[in-house]
Amino acid sequence: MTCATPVSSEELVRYWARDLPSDEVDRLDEHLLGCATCSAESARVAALVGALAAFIPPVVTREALRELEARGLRLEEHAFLPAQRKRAVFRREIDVLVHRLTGLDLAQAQAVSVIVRAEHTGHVLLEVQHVPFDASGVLIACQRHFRDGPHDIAFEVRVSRAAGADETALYLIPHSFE
Amino acid sequence: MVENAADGELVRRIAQSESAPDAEAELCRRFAPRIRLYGLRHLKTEDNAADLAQSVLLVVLEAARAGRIRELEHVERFVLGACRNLAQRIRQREVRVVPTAPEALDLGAYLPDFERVSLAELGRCLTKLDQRSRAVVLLSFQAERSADEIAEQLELSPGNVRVLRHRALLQLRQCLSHSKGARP
Repeated sequence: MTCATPVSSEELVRYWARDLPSDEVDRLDEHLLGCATCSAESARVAALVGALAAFIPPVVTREALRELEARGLRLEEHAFLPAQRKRAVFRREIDVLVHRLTGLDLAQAQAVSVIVRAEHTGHVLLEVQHVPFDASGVLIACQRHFRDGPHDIAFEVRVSRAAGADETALYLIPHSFE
Repeated sequence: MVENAADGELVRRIAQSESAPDAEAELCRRFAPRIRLYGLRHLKTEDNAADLAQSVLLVVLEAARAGRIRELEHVERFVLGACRNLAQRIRQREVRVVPTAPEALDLGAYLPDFERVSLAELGRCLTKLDQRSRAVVLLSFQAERSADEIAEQLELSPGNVRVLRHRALLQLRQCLSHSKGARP
């Protein structure tokens, strides 16, 4: 399976980003329908682009949550306090479970980072620097596909302040998925 | 062996025989995934893409049986014409493709298991991108902003946005293939 005039990966990315003039789109449409090699490559780009379109960042803004609701996703939000162990239940009826990590003094915060660990092994699942936050806290968008990972989750939130009085808060949230 | 036959040869066999199930199946197997991709690109949703694949394949098979596909060297041009016409009608909601009896066309039999990207792995890989590249890919493919709009928002040139977007996708693919390999 070879192609004498393969479509470049730059062109494919522009094709899927809807960033090509219409005559170029027409040319690629025809080539991709007739070429098994380039069509297979296009399918790989399409899979990644499709996943990016569906991806919801694990730490979100309030505005992003409103946009998700506007898209028809069902959200449920719960507040958590530092050092408190509180179970989160991902009910069948919802699409995104929002954890609002509260109890932090974010008024003087310059930057906030979040480290997600499996509580019992300490294994770092995710580390995100410069996450969005507001006065109400940090918003975690827990999603159904997270059930594939560990369920004993510990969120470590690090707050950096200009004055240097940094703060770290730990939230222990065992999860169960219906 | 129908697998090795050119598209035009398959169409010729279908036109010449009262029944050429092997040639018809091979033509569907070849074009169904490509038509689905065309549908995803132009109609955006999986449902619409599947509707399009189903209806285009039926049109192509009917035309092949009736000997109406003239340009055997470029069967894809006939398929493209059908894709354009039917995509336009689906867009205008003139057709919600009528469910077809499996004996007429079992689309599922011709669509392979497509590559799926794990959202959990994608999340991990996105954190490895620098902040600007991450913003560029998410603005491009989630917010569906053009290169010009992203350039203005991030104070870059449109050319720069395209370079960052392309590199970021390559990095993501590399990261995702490593994660796959690392999984037990």
